[in-house]
This record gives sequence, C-alpha cells and structure tokens, in this order.
Amino acid sequence: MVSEAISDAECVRKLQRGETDAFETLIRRHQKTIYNLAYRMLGDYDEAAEISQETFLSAYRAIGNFRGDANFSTWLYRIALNHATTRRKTLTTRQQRTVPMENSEPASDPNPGPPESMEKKEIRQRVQQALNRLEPEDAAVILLRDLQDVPYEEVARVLEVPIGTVKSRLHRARQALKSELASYFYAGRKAV
Amino acid sequence: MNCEEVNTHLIDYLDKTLDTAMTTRVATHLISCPPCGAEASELADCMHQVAALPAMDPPLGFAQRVMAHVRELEAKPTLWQRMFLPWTQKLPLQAAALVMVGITGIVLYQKDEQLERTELKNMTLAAALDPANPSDESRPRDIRQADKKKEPALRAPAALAKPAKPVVEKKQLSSPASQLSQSGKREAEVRSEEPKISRRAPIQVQEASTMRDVGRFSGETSLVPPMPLGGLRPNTPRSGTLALDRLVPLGERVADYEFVVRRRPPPRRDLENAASKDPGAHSLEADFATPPAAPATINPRIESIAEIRFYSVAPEHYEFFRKELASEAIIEAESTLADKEREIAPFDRQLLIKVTILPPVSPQPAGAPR
Repeated sequence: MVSEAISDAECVRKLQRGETDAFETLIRRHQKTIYNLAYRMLGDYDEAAEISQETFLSAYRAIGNFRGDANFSTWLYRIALNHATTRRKTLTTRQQRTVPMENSEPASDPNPGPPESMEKKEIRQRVQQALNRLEPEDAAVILLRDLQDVPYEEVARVLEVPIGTVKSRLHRARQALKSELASYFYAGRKAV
Repeated sequence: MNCEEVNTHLIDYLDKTLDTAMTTRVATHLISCPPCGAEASELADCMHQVAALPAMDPPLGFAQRVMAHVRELEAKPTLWQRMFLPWTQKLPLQAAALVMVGITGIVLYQKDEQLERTELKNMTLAAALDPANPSDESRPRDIRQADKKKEPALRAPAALAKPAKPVVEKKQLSSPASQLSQSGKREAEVRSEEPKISRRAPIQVQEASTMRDVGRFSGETSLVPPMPLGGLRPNTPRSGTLALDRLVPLGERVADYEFVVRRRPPPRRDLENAASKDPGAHSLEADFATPPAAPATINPRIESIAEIRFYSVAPEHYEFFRKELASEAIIEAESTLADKEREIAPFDRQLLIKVTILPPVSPQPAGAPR
C-alpha cells in the first residue's frame, strides 16, 4: 500500500513506473469529489457510480499520456465532466429526462434534523432539478465553482477556456439557474 | 455607478474578489436600486443553495471495485502488447513471415519472367514464319498443325535438343530423281545435328518452312523432289568452335549476313543436265534453280513457303558469293549489320550467311489444280 502522505504527482509517477497500488491512493483521495460532481451532473446515484468508475478507469488507461502540466485533480475533473456530459446527452436523447425526485439521495445523507429536513430536502431536490435542466456546460461551471469551490484558474484549465470566458459563462449559468428556481423563490417569498 | 456597471461587477462582488472601494460602490447601488438588489440577492441565494448541496459518499467498496477492474486491465495485454510483445516470441515469427513473403515474391518474379520470355519466343516465331501475312487463318492448315506441334518445343528449352525429325524424313524421301550427292548427305547429317548445338529461333523457322517439308506437311512426301544442295555450302556451316562461339539466346540474330532472294522465273534449262553434273561441283546456280514442276497433286499454296539456307563462306570470298547470288536470283533484301562489326574487328572465321529463298513470281503452271 502506498502511503497516503505522498502527493498526487508522486503517485502518478509511481503509477507510470508500473506501481499499480499507487492508483488506489489516488482513487481514495478523489473518489468523493468525482462522485459528487458526477452525481450533481446526472442526478442519479447509480449513474454517478458508473460514471465515476469509468472516469478512474479512463485515467488509468491514459496515465501514460499525463505529463503533469496540470494538477491530477484538474485532469480527473476534465475526464469526469466529459463522461458525464456524454452520458447526459445520451440519456436526454433516449428519454425525456425524469430526474428521480424522491429517494434520489442515498440513505447516508449526513444532514440530520427531522424538523428542517423536509424543507431542506425539497430545496435540494429543486436545485438538483434546476441543475439537470441546465445545459451541461452551464451546470459544469456552476458545480466546479460553487459546489467544489475550484479556483477560477483551475476551472479555466478544466474547461480549457480563458478565465474571462469562465466568468461570463458562470454569470450566465447562475442567471439560468435563478430562472429555473424563480417560481420556487417567488412562492417562498409569497409564503413568507 | 449605474445598473449596467453594477451588472458587470456583480459576479466579482458575489465572489468577494472586488477591492474595498469597488465593493462599497456596488453595495451602495444595490441598496439604492431595488431591481439590482433583488437580482444580486437571488443570485447569491442560488450560489448558496448549490454550495449547500450535501456531499455524497461514493458506494461502499468503490475504490476496491475500481482497483479490481484496474488489475483486470493490467493482466490483459493491450492491442499494442498483443501485436508486438513479447518480442522474444513475436520477432522470430515475424522474421519467418518476412522470409516466406520474400521467397514467394522471388518465385513469382521468376515465373513472370519465364512467361514473358515464352511470349517473346512465340511472337518471334510467328513473325518469322509469315511476316507478310500475319493472319493465322490465311495459312495452310497443315502448317498450323505443324506450328502447334512446335510450340511445346519452344516453350521448353530442354526440348530444343530433340532429334531433328524432318531430316530423318528427308533421308527417307530419297528418290532416284534426287541423286543426293555425297556432300549433300553430309549436309543433311550436319543439319540433323543443328538443333543439338544451337538454340536459335531461326533454326525453328528453317525447319518449318523448308521446301523439303512441304511433302511432309501435305502428306505426300514421295512426290516432292528434293532440292539440290549448293556447292558453295561448306560441309559444316555451324559445327565446331564456330558454332559453339556463336551460341546465342533464342530470338537473337545469328547469321553474319542475311539475304532474302527470289528465284528467277524458270529458264529454259534442262535441270536434269545440271543434276547429272559432278555431285561435288554444286553451285549457287543449281541451288537457286527453280525446282522442277511439282506433280499436280501438290497443294500450290504450300509452294509459297520460303526456303532458308545457310552458307559458310570465307570472308575473302564474300563478295564473290554475293555476286554469284545476285546473278542467280533477285536479291530483294539484304542485311548489312555485319559490315559495321567487320569494320571494328575483321572476321577471322568463316562467315555464316543466311539466305531466304522465295519462289518465283511467275504464275502457276496451267495444270496445277486450285
């Protein structure tokens, strides 16, 4: 077992030298991030698990081409977003997407509190629905910046666009998301 | 600051990346402008809602499951590895395959060369047999049959050394009228040896077109009078060192000089007198005398076939030979290719002269059947 203390770059070098165990370290280190990104992109637990696995296997196959110019996480984000975007388009063409509104979140939801859980759960489902209705590129930039809190520079590298483009795309994506959530916010305000 | 400017800086304001002064100016406008304030508030709420989405844990055993797939991939060689690795096994196989391809290529190339050579021989034979009338259909059927018999011999070089059957038949053709001379017999023996020492296309032509074969082709051998052999023809035109030195590939020119002559119309000459002369004193006159009228049963078309004769003449006697040839027959064509060779290096051997004798242009005897 490779030590968890070594950096991503060192793990990658070991993996490129043929030490397959180093890849397990990388998986354990990034699995949650990749899985969450995939889940928010697709809104489905099983699909997210499958896309996450494909992402890591693709990374393993292509590890020889990774030159280390960017962070391993950046490279992994790019692979995951490519797989997720492709899967979203496939699912969209196969059927009009019906995002599972109920029971879509796993039982291991860490947010406790019975009194506020129902309202929060509804908000989360509304937000997930709105994300799923966005264009994949818009959803990707919102998730990277607002969910994963990835710096603009890294988002630009993941999406392979300039930072200015990232900002303008993010602003447009937020407005689109706001439009998707407008009825909910309006209703909430009226209720308040 | 107006609404448009605020909208420009709104994203940085929400990300809190503006400097203090700009942040104050934007915040002041947002307070004073309800629409801009509502827009900023809703956007901030969206950001907050997204950021508040709970982090999901991947399925249990996710890393182990992925690693199991990774180890499967590791155990299964890639396409590249299957193609080229391990080299200790692939390299000998690839080398053997390369050698096999090379051998196959060489064999195919050699076969192709043999085919081309065979085609060239056939073309040479066809052109030599009847250059003026290339149409095979216009030729006598008997000759075509003879050609077919000769094709295998031309294709197989080993078969060229076959015994000269026509000459054997010539000996059988001996009739009292022919009175073959002693030198003529030797000539016939020499001619019977020709195919053994020479592999030249003209020899094939000679065998096919000699007037003496007419009877064989027509099936009436006993009725064909043999041609007298010339006195100038030496005993061994292509034997000994001379012939061996001149072994050349098929289809190549062999004679030093070549003549195409046409017999003069039959003079009022008693050929029997010529035949009764001294057998050793044959001359060109006797050679080129028109043969006696063929019996009526001979197919007249057969007589249009040329006769080819070879003479071996000393270089100093060449001019004399030529004059005598011109006096006895009409020279229609002659090759002078050997003249240039002679200028470069004078011949120190007997000249080999090929004479193609065409029949006279005079009309057929009135009694000849059509």
